[in-house]
Amino acid sequence: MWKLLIFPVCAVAFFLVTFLSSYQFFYRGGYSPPVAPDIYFEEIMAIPAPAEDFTDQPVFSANPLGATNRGTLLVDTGHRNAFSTREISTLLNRVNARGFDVAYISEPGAPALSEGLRTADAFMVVLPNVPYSAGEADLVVDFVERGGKVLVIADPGRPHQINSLSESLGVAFQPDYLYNLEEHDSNFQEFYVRDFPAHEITAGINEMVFFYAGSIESAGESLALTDENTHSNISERNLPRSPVAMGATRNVLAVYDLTFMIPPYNAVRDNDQLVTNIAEFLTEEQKDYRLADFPGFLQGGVDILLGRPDLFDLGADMRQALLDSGIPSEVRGSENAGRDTVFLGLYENPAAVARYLDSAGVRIDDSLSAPFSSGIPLEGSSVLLLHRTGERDVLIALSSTPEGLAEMVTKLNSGTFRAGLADDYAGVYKTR
Amino acid sequence: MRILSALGRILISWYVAAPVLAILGIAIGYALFFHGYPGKPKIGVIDIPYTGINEDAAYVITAYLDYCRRNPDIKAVVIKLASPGGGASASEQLYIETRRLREEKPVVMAMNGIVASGGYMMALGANYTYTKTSTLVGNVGVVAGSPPVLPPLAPEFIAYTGPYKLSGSSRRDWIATLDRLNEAFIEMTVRERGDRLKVSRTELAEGRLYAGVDAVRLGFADGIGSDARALEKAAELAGIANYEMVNVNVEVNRQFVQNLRRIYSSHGDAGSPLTEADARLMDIFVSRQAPEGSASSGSTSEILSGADGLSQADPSSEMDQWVNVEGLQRPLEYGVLGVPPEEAFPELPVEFNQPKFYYLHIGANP
Repeated sequence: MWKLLIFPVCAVAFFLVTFLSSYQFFYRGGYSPPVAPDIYFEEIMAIPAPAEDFTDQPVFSANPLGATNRGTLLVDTGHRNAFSTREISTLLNRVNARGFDVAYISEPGAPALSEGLRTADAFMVVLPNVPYSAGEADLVVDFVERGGKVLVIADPGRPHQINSLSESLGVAFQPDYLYNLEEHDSNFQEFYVRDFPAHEITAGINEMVFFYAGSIESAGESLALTDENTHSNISERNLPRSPVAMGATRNVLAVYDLTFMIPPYNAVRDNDQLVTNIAEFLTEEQKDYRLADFPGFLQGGVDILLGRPDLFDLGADMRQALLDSGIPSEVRGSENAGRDTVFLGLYENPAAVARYLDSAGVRIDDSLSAPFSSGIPLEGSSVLLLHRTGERDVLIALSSTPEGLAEMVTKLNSGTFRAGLADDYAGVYKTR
Repeated sequence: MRILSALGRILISWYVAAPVLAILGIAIGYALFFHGYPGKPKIGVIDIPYTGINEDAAYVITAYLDYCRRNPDIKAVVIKLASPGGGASASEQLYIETRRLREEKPVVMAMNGIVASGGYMMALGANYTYTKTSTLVGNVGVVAGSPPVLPPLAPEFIAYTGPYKLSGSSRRDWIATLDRLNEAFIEMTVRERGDRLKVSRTELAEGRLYAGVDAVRLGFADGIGSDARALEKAAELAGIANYEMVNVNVEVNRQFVQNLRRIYSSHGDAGSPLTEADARLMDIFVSRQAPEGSASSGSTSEILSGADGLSQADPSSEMDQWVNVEGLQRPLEYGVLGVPPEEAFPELPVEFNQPKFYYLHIGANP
């Protein structure tokens, strides 16, 4: 009987030997999966800085009706500039609020630029994509030397040829962008700046966020210095860099970020304060106008005074010409010492402008004498003078005859008078 | 009766019964081991050639991973991977599926060429990663099209119900979302690599691409090694030896062909079964073109022409013709795997207002 039992036991034994030896041959252990780490996605946050309250308080207020034209900001749109006016509307609104008009130059080339700068007090160039020629750059340098304010803006995120102009002004926009991986707003390229050297441009600014900005090398002051965690993408050196800087003179300001002034980015931290300070910078002073800049030096409501009542038609022509240039004026019977004035008269009645003639060293008796020449015959001649004080400008046009004065007015309004200028403030012309 | 009795005596005699029962025991043991449980161990090998991970690629690779997970004979998986990454959700899908597979079977990654961004995210799901010294690894980060600073003004004739109904978000929100995705990727990397990672979160955020030798030193990968070394490691982690290898690409494609045959042969029946998965695979298969000049492009053309001919009169004979086509071994991969990002993502370089995020290295393929 035991034989009957041993047979199945043997079979099971062979089965087990086969199975276990196979198992041992192929399996040396088991797999213990590692503990899968928990990833707390719900704790991952990137919260942009909130909008701050800000009220723009211009030092100079514009007349609500726009009659107080304190100056003109010329905006370059003639170099395929890579921006839309919607993007700079915050700045332009604040410039307007300070009594400045905004004009645009839409053609490239020195003649158009020269004409535009003639009547401008400030010039704004944003992201040009057609390089400035040497002649154009010289015009802007001359503009700056005469006290005109220039604001140059670029952005690393958009193409530009800004250095074709800015290098003439002592500013070089670097081919980089700045970033901070340790602390930033919504993105590593949106970095904080908290070091602002004392300057009118940085007044009231403690903390700003720049949105994709680059660094500026400048002959002037750097105005927004980055911290040790903010780097340039093209340099391994850890140096303070600045996306805001003055140029070689205090009349040139360079900013290497356009986005910070575009809503809603302008409302972050003290960004709005920089927009306001730039508006103040552009509008705080006026350039040193010369006679050749006619009619740019005439601002606000202008009075037109006539030497004789029968010159009224000339007064009307002048009024229309000024209006065409955006300058409101009125023909008046007496001088108002608080307003810019255009005087149109004949040599026979110099008394009304005697003090201005004396001031310029011009004498009218049998002939016309001036610092640049003497003994000029009165007959068939006309003279132009610009008298400038800090408060007002007075333009004087005198001639020997009404016909000659009419010709002089025509020359003025057509711009041909510039060919006869004897110096920056006077010109003598041969007329009827 | 006497004959039967004599036969019984012979059967229970030692000389006969012992060998018969031994053979029977061995046969049952063998059959149970090799055809029942646990079977001869196999290592599944998934080959992902240089591939921009778009939705189709993710779907096919997921099918490979799923096959490995469901096949009880496959005890470990080796994934030969070369990818610059791809779409954010597609890459994340592969990370999740790889991690899911890892919870059941060891997964070893053999990284070749470049494993960057979303490709690296997938590799995070593996137990162990091998790289070549020249393989480029890392590039943690996100790219996306950037909407314009100011949204375009909507035409007057379009009415909509909210300020972000047309754009989906403000530019600021969009950029913040980009940053959150990057933080999530960094978090994944830090958590998955754990103590092995030797770089800070800030350094991770730089998005650098490291050569394999540096990747191992800094903890982005676990070792320098070839595909063979990856197989050894997979066997070691699974505790197996004397294993077989399964070409998962071929097996899954073979299954696909069988499904295709089933669908094809039942074509015309009102109640022919077409599962959602079959439909999706069919869609990928039929819509893809073979790469120009590829070794099997002619074959694929035949496949495609056959697919177009689904309504022809004698489908089963034509189907047999397909199956004989050599290229049919990998029908799913044409136009899906081995596709560089510029082909996988025709929208690259990313354009403004593209509502897409990518875990993608967009530099040149070294």
